[in-house]
This record gives sequence, C-alpha cells and structure tokens, in this order.
Amino acid sequence: MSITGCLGAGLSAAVFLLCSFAAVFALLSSALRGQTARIAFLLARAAIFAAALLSIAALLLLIRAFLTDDFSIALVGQYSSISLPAYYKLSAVWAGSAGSLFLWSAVILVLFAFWLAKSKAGDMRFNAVALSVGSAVCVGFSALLVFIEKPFDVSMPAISDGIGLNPLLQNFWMVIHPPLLFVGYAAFLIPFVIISAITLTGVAAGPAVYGQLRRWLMFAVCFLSLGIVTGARWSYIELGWGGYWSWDPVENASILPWFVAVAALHSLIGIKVANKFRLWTVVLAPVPFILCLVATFITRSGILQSVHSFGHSVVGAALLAFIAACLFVWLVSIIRFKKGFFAGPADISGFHLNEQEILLWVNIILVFTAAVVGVATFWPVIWQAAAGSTIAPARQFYDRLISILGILLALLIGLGSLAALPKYGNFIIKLLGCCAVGLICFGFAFNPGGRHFIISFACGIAAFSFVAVLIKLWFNLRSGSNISGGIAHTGLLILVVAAGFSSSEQIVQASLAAGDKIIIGGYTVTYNSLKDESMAGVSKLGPEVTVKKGSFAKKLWPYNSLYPDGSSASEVAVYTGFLKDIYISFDGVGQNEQVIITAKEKPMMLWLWVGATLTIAGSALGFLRAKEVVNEK
Amino acid sequence: MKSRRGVFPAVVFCVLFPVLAVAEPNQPTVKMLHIFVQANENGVSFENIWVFEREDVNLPWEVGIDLPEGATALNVDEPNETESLKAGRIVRKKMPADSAMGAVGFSFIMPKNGDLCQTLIKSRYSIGSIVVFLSTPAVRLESNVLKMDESLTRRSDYAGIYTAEGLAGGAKIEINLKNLAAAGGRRIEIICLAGFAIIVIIALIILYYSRRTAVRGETTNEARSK
Repeated sequence: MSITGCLGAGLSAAVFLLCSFAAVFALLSSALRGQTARIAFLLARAAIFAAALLSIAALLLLIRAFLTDDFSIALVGQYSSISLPAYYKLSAVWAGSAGSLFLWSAVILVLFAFWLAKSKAGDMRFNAVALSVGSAVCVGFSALLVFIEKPFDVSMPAISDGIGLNPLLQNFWMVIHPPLLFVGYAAFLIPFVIISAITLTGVAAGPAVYGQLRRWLMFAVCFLSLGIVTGARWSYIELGWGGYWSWDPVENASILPWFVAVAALHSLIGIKVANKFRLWTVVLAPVPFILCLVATFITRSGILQSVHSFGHSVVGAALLAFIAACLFVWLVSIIRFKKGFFAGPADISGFHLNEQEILLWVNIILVFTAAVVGVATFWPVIWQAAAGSTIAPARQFYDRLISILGILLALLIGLGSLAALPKYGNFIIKLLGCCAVGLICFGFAFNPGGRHFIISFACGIAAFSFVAVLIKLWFNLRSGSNISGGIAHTGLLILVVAAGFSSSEQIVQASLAAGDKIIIGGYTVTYNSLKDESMAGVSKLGPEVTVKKGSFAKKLWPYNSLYPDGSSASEVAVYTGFLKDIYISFDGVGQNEQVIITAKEKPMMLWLWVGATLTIAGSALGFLRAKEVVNEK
Repeated sequence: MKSRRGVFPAVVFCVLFPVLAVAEPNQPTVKMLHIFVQANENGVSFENIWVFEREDVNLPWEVGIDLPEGATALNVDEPNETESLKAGRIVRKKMPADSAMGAVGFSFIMPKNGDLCQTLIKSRYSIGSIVVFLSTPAVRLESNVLKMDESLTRRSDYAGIYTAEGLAGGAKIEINLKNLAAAGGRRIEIICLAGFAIIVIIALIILYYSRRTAVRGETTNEARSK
C-alpha cells in the first residue's frame, strides 16, 4: 500500500473515531450533570476541533496526490492525468463520487467546528444536544468515507498515467461550482442542529440563537445560490444546448433546499416583525439540510437518470438510512414544538398592508413550489412503483409552474416592500406610482401575436414591484436600516424578467461556405475560415466567424476539442450584448467543406446573470449585517 | 544384430520426428483468447472465449481445452455443441467441418486461498494473442507471460487489461490474483469498528459510575437531613 494511501486511510479512520467520540461524549454530557458533564462536553468539543483539523489535513493530502500525479491512489488515476493542467487537477479532486463526498464531509466538519468555536456559552444542555446532533451527522459522513466511498483506495495494479478528466468538466465554472455548492449544503447543518437542540432540550432561544439561525441560513443561501448560478453558467457555455437550466433531477434537487431555506428566512423575519411564524421556523429551518442529503442521494444512488449523477453506487442505501435518521430528528422537533421557543419583539404597528399575511403567502408559495418540484422530480420512481412504467414530467410542466409562481412571488415582493413602508408619506401616491409604472412596462412589453402574453404580464408585475422595492430601499438608506433584502429582491425581479425573455430564443442552423452570412437578432454572422489550433495535446478545430452590427464587429470562434485520449468536447462562442446574447455552436463540417453552425439569439442573458449576482450580493450583505438586524427594532 | 535392432528405431524416429513435429497440417491454433476475470467474496470468475482457426477446411475437426486444477462451476456457452469430459476437466467442442474458424465459450470459478487466487492454464495449441480483462479494482494480477497494457486500460472501464502474444503449444499461463487493498481496507474498518465499540463502552462505564455516585450522594444527603 502506498504511503499516501496508508496515511489518508489512517486520517479518515482518525476523523471517524474522533467524530464518534464527540457524538458519544456529547450525548453523555447531556445525560449527566455537574463537573463530569462539563468535562465530557469539553472533550467532545475538542474532538470535533481535532477531527476538523485532521479532515483538512486529509483533504490537503488528497489534493497533493492529484497535483503530484500520485497514481498509486485509484481516485487520482480515474479522474486525473499527467497532461491535465494544474487547476483542473485541483477540480478533479471533487470530480468523482468519493472525492466530492470527501470535500462535503470536510466542509461540514470545518463549518461545524467554526460554529462551535464562535457560539457563545449558553445553556449547557442546549450546547451538549447541539454538539451531539452535529457530531452524529459528522459520524455519518466520516463513516461513508471509511466503509463505503474510500477516497484513498490504492490503485491495483499501479499505473503510470491516469484516465484524465471528462472534457466537459474542464471548464473554469466547474472548478468552483462544486466547492461553492458544498459550502452551501454544509452550512445548512447549523440551522438543523440549532432547531434540534432547541426542541429536544426545550430551552427558549434568545436573540443570540435567533441571530445564529438567521446568519447561517443567509450564509448557506448565499453559497447555495453561488453554487447554482455557477452550475447554470457552466451549463450555458459548456453543454452547447444554449440553456442554463434543464429541470434535470440533480438540478431540481439542488434548488429544493434553496426554496425551503428562503421560506425559513422569511419565517424568521415573521418572528421579528410580527412575533409569529415560530412553528414555520421550526418546521422549515432543518429541512434544507435533509433536502441536501436527498440531493446527494439522487446524485449517487442512480435512482434517477441525470447527466450530473455519478451512476449507481452502494452509497445510496447508506444515505437513505442517514436521511431517515435526520427525518426522525426533524419529526421529533416538530412534535416537541412549544410556542415559547423563540422570543421575538412584537412590533406590527405602522404598516398599511398586512406584512404578516404577505410573509405567509410567500412561505406558502415557496413551500408549494418546493413540494411540487420535489414530487415531480421523484415522479418517475413513484410511477414506476405504482404502474410499473416510467414517466417523467416534461420541461414545459416545470416552466409553466415556475412562470406562474415566479410572477406571484414578484407581486408579493412588491406588496411586501410597500407593506413594510412606514406610515408617514403619501402611501397611496406611492402605490399608484408603482401601478402606473407596472402598467406602462406591460404596455411596452405587450406584443400581440409575437411575444407570449405571460412574459409581458411578468414584465408589468416586476416593474410594479421594482419601483416598490426602490422606494423601500430609499427609506431604508435614509433611516440607516438593512438594505440587503432590497438588493436581493431587486436581483430576483430582474431574474424573473430575464428568465422570461430568455425563453423566447431564435435559432438558425446553416451550412456555410467561406464568406457566407446569416442574420440573427439584427446581427450579421459571417463565416471567415476554418481555424485550427493545438495546445498541450488538445487539437481545436472550428469556424472563425464575425458578428457584426453597424460599426460594431467581433470575431468569435466556436470549436470542437479533440483530447489525447480520443474524447472530444464542443466549445461554444458567445457574444454578450446589453439586451441579447449571440450564441454560436459548431456542429461539424458538411459537404464541400462547408461548416454547419447553429446560431441562437438569447434575449436578456446579461440581465439574468446580473439579477443572480444581485440576489447573491443581497444575501451576502444580509449575512454580514445579520447581527445588526437582530438588534434592530 | 543386437545393435542393428537398437539403431533402426532410432533412425526411424529421427526421420519421422521432424515430419510429425512440422506436420499435422490441420492442427488448429488459437487465434485469440479473451479471459474476463472478476473476483468476488466466493472466488474468482473466469469467462473464457477461445477463438480457433485452421488452415484447411472440409475436414471434421474438434478442439479440447484443459481446465486448470481446482476449477469449479463449469458453465459452457453452447451446451448442445460443447461437452465436458473426464469429470469436467476438459471442454470439448466439435467444430463445423466447412469452417476454418470456430469459438468456444465457457466460464469457471477458481476458489480463493486467503487473499490469493492461483490459476494455471495449459494450452494444447499455440496462441496468437491473449487478452485478460480484469474487472475488480484493488486486485493485483501477476503472470509469467501477461503484461498490463496501460494505454488500453486507461481507455477502458476495466481495472486492468493484460496482454501476451505468440505462445507456443503446451505453454503454461500463470494468472495469480492478490487482493491486497481489501486486506488493508478491512484492517482500517475493523480498527474503526473496534474503536467505536471502545468509545461506547467507556461512555457507558462513565455513565454508570456517575449515576451511582449521584445516587450515593443523594442517599448521604438524605441521611444527613434526617
């Protein structure tokens, strides 16, 4: 056995044993009293810190194995090769099932240890139960890595070069997408732990715990959003189909925790502004973590077909048991719910619209969306069990569902912003102003016989809400209040409109000889010549085209890459304009050396990414200012 | 006379031996041999495909393959045309008289001796090429003639592809499989399980003594208050 393999397996085993020690001694601490309980708790806490450090050491060891081409480790041989650039060697660490699970496990341990270190000493039983629940989850993850998915398995026989990374994964966005997603997934553990500790001990959560819940939910939503958006960007520029979201089971599984976490965040706002929504919070806050486990189960069990899945793996059954255990803790939390769990200020005076009801509807829509998308994702499995055949909802089903619910949410964003405005000022004038802007935008966007009515309607509603959010932002800036919600909501409104417009794309496929032109979206695309390039053993071949409009001209080069191992990948070329993208993919060489290209006009794509960035920026600001928000009255 | 009697067979042998050795004009040869190897807990499965060829056609021909010592669970691909002889130690197949090529497919299981499985295949015929496809990762294959083809292995889903070419009739092919990683992996797993059990036992002992101390303390306090 190689030294790296030996050391890595030893570190994994040590992490498992330390987590087990922490879980058992934290449980012991919650069952005891006095000095013994305190010593047991401190030992368990120290064990988690040590496990986190060893986990980082093991991760660094695996990264080193990839960077130094240590093919004695089977995982390195399966996903890396000598010719792979260093940054892709790094991303190859989490390209496989064992590597990505290892990364997630390490991130969970580090974040949990960070939370333990930062959380102020409160009730001893609360701390002990929180530590035992969190440690038990860490035991589960480390057990998967010791008994089932072993990242440090040695390569038998030893090989001198690896298979290499799938060409589709050799993309910048795929380098950062999995770590961001896993940080988001892992951060959802903290709300799960906090709610479990509150309900299992019956200790009323004070402002400090409320603040922790809000901060960690914000942090998790921020990173999950980053993970989703980077994944969507990768899909847009790498997969070559021109879309960014295909309602694939794995994509759906990643967005389910987002919907529920956003609903949980609004429940926390409900506690603050209306002194209600306690049950909503207890029910919703732990769910994103369970849904993250479900996402992992979908990706690794092979139960649902997806381009993102790792195929069939034995880890599925273990994950199912893990999910069942977490569901049990969640159900116990709900059963043990008491009204006095959260102490929040009751300050509902000074609002024109009932903000409480708007928050309730926001929650209902988000949870309903999550439920429908969840059931639709598992529909092939449900139908298979019930009728013996496989049937999956079409993409149109999801598109219709999301377009209707997205418009409703956009309307509620506007109404919620107006509802949160203080009583002074001319409220009716502001309301009428919002409606007028909405109607004008609807009128501009409405195009009978051309654009779909629902896109124009969404445009009107988004404009109404946009003005309302701007008014609220202005008030908040004047009063020095938190503006993170306003920024995130602005981003979401832009996202809704951009997503609606981007769905109405125009496609032209043509076979072109040198000098031939096609016209799409007001741009002229001219085929210049066939260009080839070879770098680091990768041969690239594709047509060089010029995208031109008026005096503006830009050269683009979509190409096919042929890798040394015989695999190939298609790389698209995109011109991003202010209002539309020109998206060109190379489909091959036809008769008489004519090239076949597909050109697409994708409206509002820039604004889609701007909206997503603003949403993430808002949640990041919310996370950074969460402490101040808790203290705000 | 005595010496002549001794010389005559020797002369005959010397004249005939080269003829016998070179001749057998219709002797089949193995064009290629593919062996798919997969190890599991019970043993190692060997799926064989022997492809034979001969030079002349329109003569009846048959082939016989000796199974290695210890092989069990013989399963032939075309039971109507293939038969096993001598208590399942030889696989024999009559080939179509009008064909120059024919294939024999069968599988058997070799038992494991601890973490080691040793197989010795003796071929009656000369072999053009052998390819062994090893499916089980974390298994090391060692052989006297087979060498791993890294290029083929990298492009395949197999844990290892081993090849050899141009073996003479009567060649012995050793295939030794060693399950090294499993032994190491199991050791780690056993240490982890034992460690977990020790942690639980220590916690239970602490819990037991803490409770007992607490009960004693309460009893003493009660007695004092009385």
